[in-house]
Amino acid sequence: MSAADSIVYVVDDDLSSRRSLELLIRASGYDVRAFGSPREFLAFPHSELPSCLVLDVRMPGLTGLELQRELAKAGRRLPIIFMTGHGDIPMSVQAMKAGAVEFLTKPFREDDMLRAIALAIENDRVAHRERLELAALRTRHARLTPREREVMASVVTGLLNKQVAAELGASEKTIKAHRARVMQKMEAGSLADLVRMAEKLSD
Amino acid sequence: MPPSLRSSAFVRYAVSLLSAVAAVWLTGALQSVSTHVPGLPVLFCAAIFSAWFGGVGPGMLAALVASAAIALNLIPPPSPGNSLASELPRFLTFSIAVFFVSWVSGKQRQAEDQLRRARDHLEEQVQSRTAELQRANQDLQAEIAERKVAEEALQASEAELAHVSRLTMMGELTASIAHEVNQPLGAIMNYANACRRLLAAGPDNKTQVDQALTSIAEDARRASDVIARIRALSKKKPTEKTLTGVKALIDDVVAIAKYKMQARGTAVRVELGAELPPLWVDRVQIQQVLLNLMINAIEAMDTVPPADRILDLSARSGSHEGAAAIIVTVRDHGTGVSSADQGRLFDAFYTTKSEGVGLGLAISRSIVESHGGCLSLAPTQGPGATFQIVLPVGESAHS
Repeated sequence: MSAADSIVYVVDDDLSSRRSLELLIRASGYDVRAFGSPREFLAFPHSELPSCLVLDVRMPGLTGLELQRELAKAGRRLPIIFMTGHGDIPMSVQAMKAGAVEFLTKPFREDDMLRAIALAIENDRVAHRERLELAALRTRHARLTPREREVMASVVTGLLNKQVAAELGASEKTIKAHRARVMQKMEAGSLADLVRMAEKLSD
Repeated sequence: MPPSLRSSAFVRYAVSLLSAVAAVWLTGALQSVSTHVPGLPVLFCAAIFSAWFGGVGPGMLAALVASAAIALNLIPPPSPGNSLASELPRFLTFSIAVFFVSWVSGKQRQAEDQLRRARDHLEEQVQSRTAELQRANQDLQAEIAERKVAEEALQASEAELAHVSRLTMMGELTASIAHEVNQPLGAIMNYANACRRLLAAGPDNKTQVDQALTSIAEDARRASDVIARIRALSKKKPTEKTLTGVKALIDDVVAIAKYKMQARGTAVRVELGAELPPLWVDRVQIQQVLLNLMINAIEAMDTVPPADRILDLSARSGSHEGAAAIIVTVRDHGTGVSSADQGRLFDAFYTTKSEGVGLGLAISRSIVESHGGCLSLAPTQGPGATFQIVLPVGESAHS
């Protein structure tokens, strides 16, 4: 387990819960930032490092579920591990549906929490990498000319050069040249690569 | 002399006749010894005695016998040989005197008898009245004892009811209580696990381990405090008044209901007046009242937007019926109390909740009233409802 270059956020209004959790997670080798309320957490500038959020469901002001929604609205995709004082099935269902990694009942087992944190960090690492890749892909796609984008859109649907030429009202030779430039600019090794890229861009 | 002897007329007349005859005989006998002995006083004595003993009638009889004895010359005149005409005044004087004396003595006797009878009757009356009075008193005592037993039974059943309603209320707060205990328990587990990891990592973490252990002890105490509070609330015990600080009272109920408030997104604002005197109350019972009002308030705000879910608790000094009092208010910003419900709010078995029994406010009011205070719905500015508890502080002096 690689705990370095990652950060675990803890949001819990109960002082001793928060401090004890902070100590436990730190003793397990993670960097930790703990907050007493969702607002404090939202006000904190967020790191680009792979991270996850350990969140108490019930807090005065903004509840855990509301914070989850706020983050989703702001486009901040952060894996969340929920904690609750007692088993609350409707709430856990709601949280899991909204993409929570885990829903733990206090007092939880240390292993359950640390495993959930490790999984969440790993998920975020992958997501983080994908986000970076997508950003690069978008940059490359932005470099295409409008005509090249049209060609790419048609090619990835599986049309042959001849068919593309007919659709766009150009010669097959011109289309072939456009297609070569698209492959080069998008850094695609094969048509299959290009199709995958197109899929990611359309997500 | 036994009055029974005199109750018979025959005895009275016989005694009168005998004494008159005896007086006549005695006078005759005395005068035969010496002519200087005056004969009349003995006859008078007989007449007076007869009247005294037998009343007017027998007295008259004795007087008649004495007069006859003189008229028949059984008692010789002091100067013998006088003519009848010269003896007549003496005879008349004697007769009038003896009849008069007998009559007066008899009348006096009658008056005495009447007086005695009146006294006896009075005594009887007094005795019978006294007996009646005693009976009434006994009845009263029995009634008092009965009433006392009934009152004790009523108090016992009220305490029982309050206890049951307290348990019901605790049932509603189960989640809150579990949370209050779980929080420190969870923290203890985290600290313990962290300590294990810190110790395994090396000896450099001594300070951190030390701090964690201190925190463990604190959280263990926190958990046991919660349990002690709950135990006190759920225990069944007779009313026990102690000097209780208002702040501690309110802090405790806020701690118990904290989680329920959080779960329903309710914020609590507490406002305490400066230098509140302590109250002489049964702590558990007053906490029961406060919790009951708070639960109602929290539930009344379920349908309002989360930002408006604010529960205001306040305590300030005031007065009640001219004496110093503490006024505690519980105010919500919920749907308020409809005018139709206002009149019946404190009635037993009247409820506006779908799952309520309708005893909470009725029991709360009887608890506050048993403390000499009052619980009422106060006017509220803006949305929501305000409940006001007024508790007198003066009683602490009588402890």
